[in-house]
Amino acid sequence: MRLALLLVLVAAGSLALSCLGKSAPSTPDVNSGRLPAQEETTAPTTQATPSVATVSPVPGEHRTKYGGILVLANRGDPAAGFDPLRTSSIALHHVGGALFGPGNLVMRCRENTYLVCPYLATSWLANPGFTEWTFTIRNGVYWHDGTLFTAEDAKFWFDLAYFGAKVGDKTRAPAYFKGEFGDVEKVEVLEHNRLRITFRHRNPYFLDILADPRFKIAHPRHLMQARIEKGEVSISPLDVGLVGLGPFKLEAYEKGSVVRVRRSFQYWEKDGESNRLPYVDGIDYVIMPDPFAMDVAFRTGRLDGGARGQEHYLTAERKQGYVRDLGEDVFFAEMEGGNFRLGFNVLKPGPWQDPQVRRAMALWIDKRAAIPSALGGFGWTSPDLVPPNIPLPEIRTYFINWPKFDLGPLEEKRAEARRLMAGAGYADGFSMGHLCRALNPAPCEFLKAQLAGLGIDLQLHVLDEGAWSRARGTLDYDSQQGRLTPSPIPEGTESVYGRYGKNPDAYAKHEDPRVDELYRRLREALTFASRVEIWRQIERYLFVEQTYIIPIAESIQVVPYRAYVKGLVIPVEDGHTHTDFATVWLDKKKGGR
Amino acid sequence: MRRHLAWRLALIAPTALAASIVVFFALRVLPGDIVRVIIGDVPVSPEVQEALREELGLNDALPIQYGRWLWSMVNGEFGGRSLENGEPIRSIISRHLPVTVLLAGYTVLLSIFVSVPLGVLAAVAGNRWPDYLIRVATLGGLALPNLWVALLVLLGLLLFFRWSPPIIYTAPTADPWNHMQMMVWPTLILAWEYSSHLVRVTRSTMLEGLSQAYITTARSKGLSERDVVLRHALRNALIPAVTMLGLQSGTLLSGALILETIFGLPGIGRGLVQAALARDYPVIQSLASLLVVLSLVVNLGVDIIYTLVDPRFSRAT
Amino acid sequence: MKHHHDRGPRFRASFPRPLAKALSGTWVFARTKALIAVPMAVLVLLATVALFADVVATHDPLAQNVEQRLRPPGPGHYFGTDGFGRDIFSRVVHGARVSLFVGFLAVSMAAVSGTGIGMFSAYWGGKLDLLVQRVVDVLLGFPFLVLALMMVVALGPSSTSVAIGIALGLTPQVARLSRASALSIKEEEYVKAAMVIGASSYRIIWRHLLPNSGPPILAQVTGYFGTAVVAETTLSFLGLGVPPPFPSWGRMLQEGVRQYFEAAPWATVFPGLALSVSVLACALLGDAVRDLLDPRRVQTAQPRGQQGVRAGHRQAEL
Repeated sequence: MRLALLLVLVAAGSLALSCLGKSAPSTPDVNSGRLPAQEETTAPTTQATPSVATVSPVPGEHRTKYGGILVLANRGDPAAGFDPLRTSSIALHHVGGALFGPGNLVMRCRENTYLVCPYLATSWLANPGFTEWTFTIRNGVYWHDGTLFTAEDAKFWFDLAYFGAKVGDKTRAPAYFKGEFGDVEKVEVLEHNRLRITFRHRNPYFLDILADPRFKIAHPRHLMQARIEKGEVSISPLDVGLVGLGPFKLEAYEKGSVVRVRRSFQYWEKDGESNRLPYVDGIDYVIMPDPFAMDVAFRTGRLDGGARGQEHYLTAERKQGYVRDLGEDVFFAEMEGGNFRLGFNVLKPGPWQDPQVRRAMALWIDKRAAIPSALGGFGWTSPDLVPPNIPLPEIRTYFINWPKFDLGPLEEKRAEARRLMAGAGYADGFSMGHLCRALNPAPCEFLKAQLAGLGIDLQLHVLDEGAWSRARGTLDYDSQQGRLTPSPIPEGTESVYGRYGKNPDAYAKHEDPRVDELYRRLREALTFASRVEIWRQIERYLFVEQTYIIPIAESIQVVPYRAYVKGLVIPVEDGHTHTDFATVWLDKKKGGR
Repeated sequence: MRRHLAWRLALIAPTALAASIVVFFALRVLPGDIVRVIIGDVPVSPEVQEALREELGLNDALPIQYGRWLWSMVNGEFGGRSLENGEPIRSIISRHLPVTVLLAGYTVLLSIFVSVPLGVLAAVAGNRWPDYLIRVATLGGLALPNLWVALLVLLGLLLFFRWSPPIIYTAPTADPWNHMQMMVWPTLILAWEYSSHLVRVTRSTMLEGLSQAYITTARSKGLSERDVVLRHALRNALIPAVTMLGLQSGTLLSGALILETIFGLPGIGRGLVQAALARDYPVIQSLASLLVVLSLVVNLGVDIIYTLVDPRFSRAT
Repeated sequence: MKHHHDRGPRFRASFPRPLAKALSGTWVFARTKALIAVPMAVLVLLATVALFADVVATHDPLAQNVEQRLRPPGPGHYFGTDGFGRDIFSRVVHGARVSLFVGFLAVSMAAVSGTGIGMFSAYWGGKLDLLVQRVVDVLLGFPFLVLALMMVVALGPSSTSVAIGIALGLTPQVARLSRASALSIKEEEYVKAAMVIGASSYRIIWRHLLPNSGPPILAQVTGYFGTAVVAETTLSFLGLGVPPPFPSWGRMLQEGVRQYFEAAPWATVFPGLALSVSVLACALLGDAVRDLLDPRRVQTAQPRGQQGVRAGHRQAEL
């Protein structure tokens, strides 16, 4: 569903830009923070007032946006030495948005996160075959220690991410996301501070992939290169003092307690009125692994914003407590993400190898019941409803045409499911194993209770984090849940829907050559229409004809913020790693803390 | 007796070594994979995983890994670096240890000051209301999971006072007021449990002591009841209380494990839980070995106090 | 318990003699030894509920019904429903089974291994004893929960591995006590006599040491039953307790507090009450049983060096 949405938007917006190789509008207008979740609490922001201080929403009162420390909860200590090449952990990316900035050479546009905007590059150009991408690096960008950022630094980061490093017998692994970049042949620095990336194969969607907020530049060449050459291949950003390019620089990191970042006065971005960003003096990320402790701290006024992360996102019941205590003084950022899917391991013998049986389960499960119970009250069933937060209402028209699977009344679907089960010879049901994450067992309990009605005894194998993350990629389990975040363009979904041999982490474990073939055709599609057409074929094949995966529901991630927190970029979906605090300001008088 | 203490002192090193070997190899049998934990929630190719495993030194033979670890313990690096985030374990320990030691210290002090008088009072009151009250309170301390008490305390503060303890830990030297506000709740909760053990042991040994022959003798000699209780019975009751202090040191750290997580204290219990869930072998290993050494030292300390307090030692051995 | 008090005398006349005698015996017992009778009755009730959970429960503890979620206690659901619309009464009843299983398994494993280690160590004495005592010393001070946590991480969350982890934590405590009491019994005349006439080691341990040190160990172990149940709750908090779908009190409590304490307090209160009542009953029973036994029995025996003295005091605090 989200992919479909992205497909449309990406194609309509950035694909047009990138295909033509045209430079996008220069500095993104950071002031138009009109975001769905904020509409109730934010007065219309000023668009083009040339004054230094913006006009405040309250008439007759002038106020600057500058100043204040934002206090946010963070789910845990940032993992892997703050290295975004190593981890997509939200505990890092929440902090990373401040330290390393919201993008790399490009970023998701603030006013519409489905489009690509320039960030550390001012423009780009692709050759007609889409095998060479050339970026012009922005002038006047500085690392936090005052060193100028150049094309050489960008090349260092690309090389480290894609090729890793090898010194003597020591190797540094490339970034975990290496595969998403495509087949990079080489990265070169050209004159006039330009960078060229050459691919072995056509790569028309490179820009959309690159704009993924997980890819943050956190590796200063001037501090790391010499040490890597001396053999310290596994050096992390933490080892060099977290010198980044983002709007905030590190002041102090007290492990298990707090990460303090403070405004970087050299930061280059400006708002629509030429005011330098960021507005706030700094951010304190307080490490709070327990969501209940976070609730209490927020509701007693010790936090300005909640943490991001699966257990910390609010449920409907927890949200009630926030509203009761804080009323108008709190607002809730809602971001779509975290899909709940049942995937089968058809490489392991069992009744689930029969597509009829898988289809029966898809028809049987009461998807709507998952939202209040398994997903904490926020979500929508997939793929039969339009996501609630779509930024552009006209996009809804596209969705009318989208296939909406299995929309009939539940009783009819369930009767059909029973017929299919009987037809496959399993009228009496069977037993099936299911891989579960101890941190979040609710979806497993939901599935177990649901499938019990069809006579299927779901055996839950509940594993803690370490064991679970290893088990996910093995063939030891009959079924598991899809909880991964796929790359936000349809081509990127192969990593979660594709063949096991190529994608061990895929939701469903299958070796279906037809899926390979469909993804190949998707990548080779030359027009938007054919891309959409092939994507629909893939969807139908995966979810209906074969039912390798049963899409059940998509969750909505809810993060609380105090009402005086203004100008926050709230991505419509996948806010997990998309963190941007450059434009936040604190309207303390109104918030009345 | 000196010989006995010398023996115990000498045995610390081999015991710690043996324990470290057990901890090391037990950990290696654990399923789960640090590499996957580092990479997080994303698909990644097996080649990348393999390279990362190589980079982290996880492919070497176990004895080599053990040797490397042991050497680093000796040369002061305390197990090298965390696999998860590359932080030197020495700095992890130096940051986490003081928090837990302070929490445990406050708890022990508070418990001693509270539980000895309460234990005496309960024993003297013998089956009247102060005794019952104290016994019920101690049973509560033993029976209620301190984690549940902690959650209820937070909830109570929220609902009735619209207040919660601060969330960013500071050392007592940096900001005593903030430090106190953060530490007071976990200390109280932990002390409830810890002192319940102490009160019960003090009470029962007091009761036992008060019925013994030499007390009767003391009474018949015409000593006041106060003197009898404080000079004779109490002195005897202190000995098992001291034993209890040592025996329940595990309780303190177990409690710290949970309370540190709930109250946002960057202590060693919390570090250990995180490391265990992330399969961060070097950190678990070093912290667990540290706890072994700590418990050995505590036991030794209790023995020394013991010889000082108990007059029978000089006679019995 | 009240029923016991009322019924005992009233039914005496109408029942056949042996039953009436038993009932009146119970009545006398309940009146004179209330401290034992009350917790014992609670535990017996708990065990009965656990044993006949399928009969006692009014609903399937796993059956979900989203339309009925978070309903307050009432005629349909005595304890209300949780976030999945499951019947909390039935879950508490089935949870008794899980908790008793974990507690019983943990305590019996600890009792067997601890007693074994303590007995043999005491019987053979010498270097072996010294070595065993050092190991026990280390484990005694080692945080109990950390041991349990590591075992669960190693074996994967399940009721058995939770029990093993807890048992491992309890073993040294039991070992210490059983060693002390075996040491003192070893010094008794009849044991010395048995040794003199050449009774086998096996026979001495089995016939003399074990039966005679049984009661104090039993008293101690009863008290630990509650500890085991509390430990399971704590592990549940970390997501490592008894895994779903089995309803455990610990996990119900955690979910209740974290997710909907304000919206549905009953989801926390009832499992919490069940937990606290049974843990209290265990602690009280342990206390009472200890009081029944002669508290000075171990201490009056000749302490054999420092360990004996310490053990004597341990005995006293049980």
